[in-house]
Amino acid sequence: MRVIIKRIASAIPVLALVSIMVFLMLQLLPGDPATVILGEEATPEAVEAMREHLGLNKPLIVQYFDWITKVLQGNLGESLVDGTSVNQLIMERLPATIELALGSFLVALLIALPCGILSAARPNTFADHLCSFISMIGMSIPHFWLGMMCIIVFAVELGVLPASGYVPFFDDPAENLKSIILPVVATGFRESAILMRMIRSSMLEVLQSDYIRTAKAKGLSEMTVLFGHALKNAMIPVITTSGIMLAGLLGGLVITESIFNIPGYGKLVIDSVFNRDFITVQSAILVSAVFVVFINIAVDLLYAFVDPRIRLGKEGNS
Amino acid sequence: MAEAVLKIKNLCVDFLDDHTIVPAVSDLSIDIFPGETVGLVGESGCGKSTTSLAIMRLLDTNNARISKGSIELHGQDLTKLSEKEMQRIRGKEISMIFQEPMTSLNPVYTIGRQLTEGIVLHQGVSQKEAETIAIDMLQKVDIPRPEIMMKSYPFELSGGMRQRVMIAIALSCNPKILIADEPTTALDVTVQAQILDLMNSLRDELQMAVILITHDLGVVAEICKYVYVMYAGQIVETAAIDDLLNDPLHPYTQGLLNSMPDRWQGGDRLYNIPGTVPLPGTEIKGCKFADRCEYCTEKCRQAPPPLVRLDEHRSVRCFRSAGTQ
Ligand SMILES: Nc1ncnc2c1ncn2[C@@H]1O[C@H](COP(=O)(O)OP(=O)(O)OP(=O)(O)O)[C@@H](O)[C@H]1O
Ligand SMILES: [Mg+2]
Repeated sequence: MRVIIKRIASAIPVLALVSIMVFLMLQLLPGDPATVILGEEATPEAVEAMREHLGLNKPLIVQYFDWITKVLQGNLGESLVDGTSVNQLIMERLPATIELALGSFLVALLIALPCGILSAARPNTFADHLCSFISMIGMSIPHFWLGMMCIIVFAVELGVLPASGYVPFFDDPAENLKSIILPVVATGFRESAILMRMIRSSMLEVLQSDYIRTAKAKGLSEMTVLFGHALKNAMIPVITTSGIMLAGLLGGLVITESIFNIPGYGKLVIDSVFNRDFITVQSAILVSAVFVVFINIAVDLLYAFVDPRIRLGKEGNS
Repeated sequence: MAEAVLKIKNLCVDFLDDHTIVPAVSDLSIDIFPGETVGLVGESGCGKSTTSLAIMRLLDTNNARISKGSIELHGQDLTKLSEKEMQRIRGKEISMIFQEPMTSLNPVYTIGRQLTEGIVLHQGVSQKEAETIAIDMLQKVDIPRPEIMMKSYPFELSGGMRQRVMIAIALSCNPKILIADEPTTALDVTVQAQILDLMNSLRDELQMAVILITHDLGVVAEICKYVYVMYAGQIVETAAIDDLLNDPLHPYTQGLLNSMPDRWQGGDRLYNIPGTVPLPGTEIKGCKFADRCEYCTEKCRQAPPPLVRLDEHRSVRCFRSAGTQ
């Protein structure tokens, strides 16, 4: 419990720093938000009035505090393009991205765990080589190509799954699942490759260790040794990779979303950048950062859960 | 005399490195009787751990194999058993304590869990009963406050405590045979003495046979009845401990004894045997010890000396000492 509070407390300065960096970064971008709203042909007077209205003539530090105060109150601002609330924009886009990210992550785990464990338990056998081959494919095939192949095979040729688009879960669960299968499998397959290599090498190392020999010497079966003794230890380094991976998925599914034409978070950010919709970009990036921070906290908690040395606060001296 | 519990006959173990066969243990024969401790002594790298892992059938099947010989436990040849059948022997009939107490326990599970799982497996009792047995066992190995120990993790214990836990795990199912592979090498001297005492008294209490593997003749002198001296994968001398200490026959045994600090005969430096153990796979035509032996003759270089039996408990692999020169 103490660990949790400590972790959350230490996240606050990180988030503050991120918010400042996001804010400053956007100041460096060329273009003027007032022009974005009014269009290129606006008179200088109108632009000046708009700047005044948006508070752009105040000192940077005041602008920052205006923005961050509103954010802390739960108001992410209004889009410069059409004035819709950024909260609403994000809420519209987030479900699809979260579903895609978690789905891909799950697929990656479902492929990587059994394959990684199997190839570590039977190194240099046919099964091991097959798994290596699969992960090699996952790593080397361009992701967009795999996505398009999936569309061609399953949507165009076989016609069993929709080629693109997204149906929200609460509109129609069955259609929702159909619409995310292809993107989730395509992304999950790619992500599984690295995870599989990680799990294999971590597992191989653990299987060489003295305590595994002890476990075998007790007369435990191979299954008990693998899953009861090796797996938990082997997962410790894998947890970090998984966390980074999940964070990446939540923030960066732009390619998947474009290929499958899914109105997700990544697309929102990209579109806003192209539209010079500063406020939306700024707030959306901040929300992503919050996600990343929370995933990191979750990773740390998971560590503590898996490894008693951390849970009992002895990380340094054992 | 009672039946031997374990009869190892002409055991040969090979390592397979890149398709070349490297013999690591050759023609090793040992008989072990209930309630007695035999020592297996030799320098680092002479194949002691390999031998013990071979008995447990825990050699890495990818690069090691038992190429010849038999290991009979009550007349049943372990080398012929399947992996499943071996699992019923390990931990129940034959247990093992390892060289490295610091790394031999699983860091992420409690002592209680690591101790009870073997008991549940081999004795078919419930988790609750296993816990009672486990606490009993921890008491036997002189661990204070065993109930608390059950909930502790290995990193919370000292090396000596961990080794006691290892012994408790090894003995929890009353095995007939305990293989202790350098159980005290990694511990400091006082703890070492305690652990040896403990093993001695538990052996008497449980009527086990113990194979004590060590490179330290001092340890052997303390608790073993018979000693097997090993060199480069072979037995070079066997004897009752007193005979060995009073009258070592093989030059290697003499060297080992002379290099014991408390037998040090004076002079500037502690004696040590010149040279090192030949690596497994080194091509040697004659006696494997020839290069390091002060009595080496032409004959020793030409043919390997056989292990000659001198009386019931005594044999030696040396032309000179066996009187066949
Ligand atoms: N998997 C392996 N492949 C090839 N050679 C090996 C392998 N394992 C061990 N050896 C070699 O076999 C020899 C015997 O090793 P072993 O571990 O049995 O020695 P030991 O007598 O137990 O030594 P120590 O006192 O250091 O524990 C050593 O020279 C070692 O390098
Ligand atoms: Mg050894």
